[in-house]
Amino acid sequence: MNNRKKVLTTCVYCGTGCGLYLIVDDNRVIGSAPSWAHPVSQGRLCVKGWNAHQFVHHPERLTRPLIKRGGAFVATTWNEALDLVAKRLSEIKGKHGSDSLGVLSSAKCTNEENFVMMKFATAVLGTNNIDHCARLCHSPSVAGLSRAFGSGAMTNSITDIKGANVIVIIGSNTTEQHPIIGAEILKARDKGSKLIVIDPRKIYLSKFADIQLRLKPGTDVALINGLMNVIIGENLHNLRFIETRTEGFEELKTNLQKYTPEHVELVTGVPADDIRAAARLYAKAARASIVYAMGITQHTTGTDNVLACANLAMICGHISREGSGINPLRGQQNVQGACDMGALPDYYTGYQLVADEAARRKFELAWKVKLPTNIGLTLIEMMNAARAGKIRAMYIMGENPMLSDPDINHVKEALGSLDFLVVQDIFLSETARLADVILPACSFAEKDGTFTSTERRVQRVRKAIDPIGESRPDWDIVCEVARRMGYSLSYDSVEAIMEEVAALTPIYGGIHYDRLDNFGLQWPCPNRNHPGTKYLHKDTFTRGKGKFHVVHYLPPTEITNEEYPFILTTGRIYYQFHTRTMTGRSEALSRESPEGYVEINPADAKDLNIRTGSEVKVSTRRGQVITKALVTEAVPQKTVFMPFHFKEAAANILTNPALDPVAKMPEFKVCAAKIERR
Amino acid sequence: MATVWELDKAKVPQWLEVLRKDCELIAPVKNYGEVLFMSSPEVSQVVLDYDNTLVPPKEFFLPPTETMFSFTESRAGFHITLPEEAKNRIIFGVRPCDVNALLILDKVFNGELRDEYYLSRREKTTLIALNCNQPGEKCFCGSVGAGPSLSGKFDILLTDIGDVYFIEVGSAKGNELINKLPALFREASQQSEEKKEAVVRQAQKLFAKPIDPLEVAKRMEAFFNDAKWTELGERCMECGGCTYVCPTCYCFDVVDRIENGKGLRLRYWDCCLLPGFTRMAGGLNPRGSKEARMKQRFYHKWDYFVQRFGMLQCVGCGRCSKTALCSIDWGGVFKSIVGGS
Repeated sequence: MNNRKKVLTTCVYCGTGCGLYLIVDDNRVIGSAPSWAHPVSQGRLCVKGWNAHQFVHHPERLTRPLIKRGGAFVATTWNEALDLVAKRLSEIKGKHGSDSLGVLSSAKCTNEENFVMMKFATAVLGTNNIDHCARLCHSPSVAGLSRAFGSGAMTNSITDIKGANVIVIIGSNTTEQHPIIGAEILKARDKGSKLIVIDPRKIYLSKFADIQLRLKPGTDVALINGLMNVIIGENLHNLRFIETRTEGFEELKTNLQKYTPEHVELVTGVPADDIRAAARLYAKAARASIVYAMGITQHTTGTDNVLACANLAMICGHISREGSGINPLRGQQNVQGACDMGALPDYYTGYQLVADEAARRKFELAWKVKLPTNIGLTLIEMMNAARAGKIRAMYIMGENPMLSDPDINHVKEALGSLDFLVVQDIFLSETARLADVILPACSFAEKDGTFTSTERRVQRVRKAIDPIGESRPDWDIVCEVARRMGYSLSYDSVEAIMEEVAALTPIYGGIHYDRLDNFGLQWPCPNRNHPGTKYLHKDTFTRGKGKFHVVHYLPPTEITNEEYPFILTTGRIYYQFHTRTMTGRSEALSRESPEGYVEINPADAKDLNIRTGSEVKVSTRRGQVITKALVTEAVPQKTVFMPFHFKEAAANILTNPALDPVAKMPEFKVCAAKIERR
Repeated sequence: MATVWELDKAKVPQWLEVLRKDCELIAPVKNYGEVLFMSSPEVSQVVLDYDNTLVPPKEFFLPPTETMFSFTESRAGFHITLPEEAKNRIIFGVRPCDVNALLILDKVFNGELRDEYYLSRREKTTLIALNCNQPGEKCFCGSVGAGPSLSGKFDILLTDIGDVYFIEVGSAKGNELINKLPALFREASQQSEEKKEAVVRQAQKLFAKPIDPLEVAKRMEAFFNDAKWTELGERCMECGGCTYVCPTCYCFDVVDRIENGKGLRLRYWDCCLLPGFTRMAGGLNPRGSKEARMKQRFYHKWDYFVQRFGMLQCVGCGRCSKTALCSIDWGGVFKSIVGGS
């Protein structure tokens, strides 16, 4: 008998958090389908979700632990591999100290796994050198929104977006990166909401926008300040909200004076009248929502960009209500959760600061171990430290910095100079190839746990099939290494891990598995009787009063010149996800988007005698890649766009590792480039 | 022997217990707040007061992914292993649109080329259909003549007439299922038969009258250059949902995978709204725009299929409108093209 099973779980791609059924025949996942009752997906999935099962049984799945011997990987037993990892980590810790070790946790893993990894790093390795790819997506949101409001997450819920009369989409190609949220925006527009798209590129939503502001990449602060200049100048700001709920307005106001629409037009390239029109539309709306993503954060001014968005929302009082707020869309299915679980160098779970002695004591008491007091290194800083010989060993779980980080050649040198590298993954990623030991992990289809979506919804991941080969859940592997290093890290189930999280984390205090079956709970959820939180900052901001921050326009680190006359901007595309570890092994998705390319405007293409399909060389001060041209009006003149997914044409060989001083976010979105026809 | 029976609703679980004894029973089950077709459910979980499932029973005949065969190569040559043969199954509670959808798929898979995978599953499966008394929000089966009730071409058909199901038997396979426990059933009374007719008439009244497929095709042709297609095409987000949940979409792609020293030939649901569906080597795409692809899908369903088989390739289940990210109401589009309310 075939006995088809259908297991409700959560999609593994973007942060929307769609409810997804895995369809299983005889312990083989054969399909995916949306949940109809799920409050967000409501019977819908994007093409990645519909094909989310395709990589699970791919023949390239890692099925046994591997040890590198004489430059080649040899299959081995779990015992030998785990012993070796524990031995080498202990040795290096003993010889060079805890801070010679670094850990990358994973936005692809469950909350429980991230929690265990965080505990492992701090309690067992004794270092706060733990970070993950949130550094490369929303670290400026966490930094910026925490400063402005006291909490760095989406203020509203996904289905709430429909309640906005005006929706500002800034630096988010929503229908491609968060398609279900894009669909909600389209629905809102059908029902009469106005759309303002702020993006250098023409995107799907441009066609449906009432106004599009095509700013020069990297000029967001100037543009947003310009909008505020108009709003205040025309007396459209919400004085009552400003007076009762915020602080620092007068200083902001003074500093906005020079951002007249005409001045801003010179900086951003956006016509002054369009700036005025957008400002009026936004300010006059009864309810307005700002939706943003990497176009805001992936700059050296990422934190400033976020703060500018926060300022804009607060001067109009477009926050703290249903349909009004600021909504950073998170790119990975559990990047919110990985941050919540404290897979960051300066936080424990639930944004409790490492620097806060009381918080640290609480964890020390619970874990019966002395914890390190110094703040750890961020992802890019760890790579720099590795190259400088200060980090000697790294444990990388489910991340692929060899494709996702800026300036890959530098990353390769950094990882190459380590004494020991252990990589835990489901496929042999570009990063895993550099490892001394590879530990095979289970995919989302083979394990239980929870993911936290972009709207702070903590929801279940359910095991649909047995582990592939000898692979094991990530949390289980980390516990094994910890035990071999002399620390008793052991749980009967993932539920037991979440119980520990709940006990130690006020915002997760009411998150218990028995409460999650009805499509999860949205944090903050402080206790068992709390229903969860649909939107944040209702009567008061988390930090008390909302704080205005004066931010001024600073140009991107690299500006174009004669040698490098193009602005190169990078991002994701609809059919692929991140470093293609999964989508690259889905036949359906790979067929749609099999190879990398560079988008170039027709006028520039004509000057360079380039047609769609022409082979071109794209170079920056850091390196060069050969790829194919895609001639399209989607990019403005003198700006080119490359997806970063493809190892054969890796955009991140080109990108600039210059960092945002606060969030340590590299400048993925702007660097100066040269294009040549081959 | 009578071919019309009635069964007290309270006795349905007993019947299901009998049915599941010697074969796989598939039935609608409530799971986390929605109804899905599940294999071998607990009888107590089966629900029949449901609108329709989002994923149609097509999945049991043309699965989302299936292994067509596996192969190994040795010195002795190339060896092919076919999958296990299909086993006897009963699908309980199939809606009229979905029964009609299978009749459409039969035309495709049982034509000049016989698709043995599909056909063997069809042959081994008995369908217990369930008439609709109340259309769902997006349903337009009445307009395309595929519902809300069935006439002929079923194994067993149930109609909800209050406390009892009115049962019609339409095939020998169906008859067997009654004979498994005949004591459960009683011959339908005249009064029940009248009640059933009334229920069916009432349900039909809730829909527009069906339109002749040839007439639909004709009106579609007149609509071909309408500017509306540009507008509809612009909305497509290429999610693929409309084809994946369509009970009459049958396109699949075929790939080979080498797994543990063994080759697998897989086929999986494909989607004509995705640009790669028609893109050729070298990158040329004869249906390069979203508009062109969207038109292809609906002209195939409402025009080309009619010309080839004399019937629409659409049963008006409205699933496409429920799942698609573009949130286009396809029933509405159909009505705007062919008329009717």
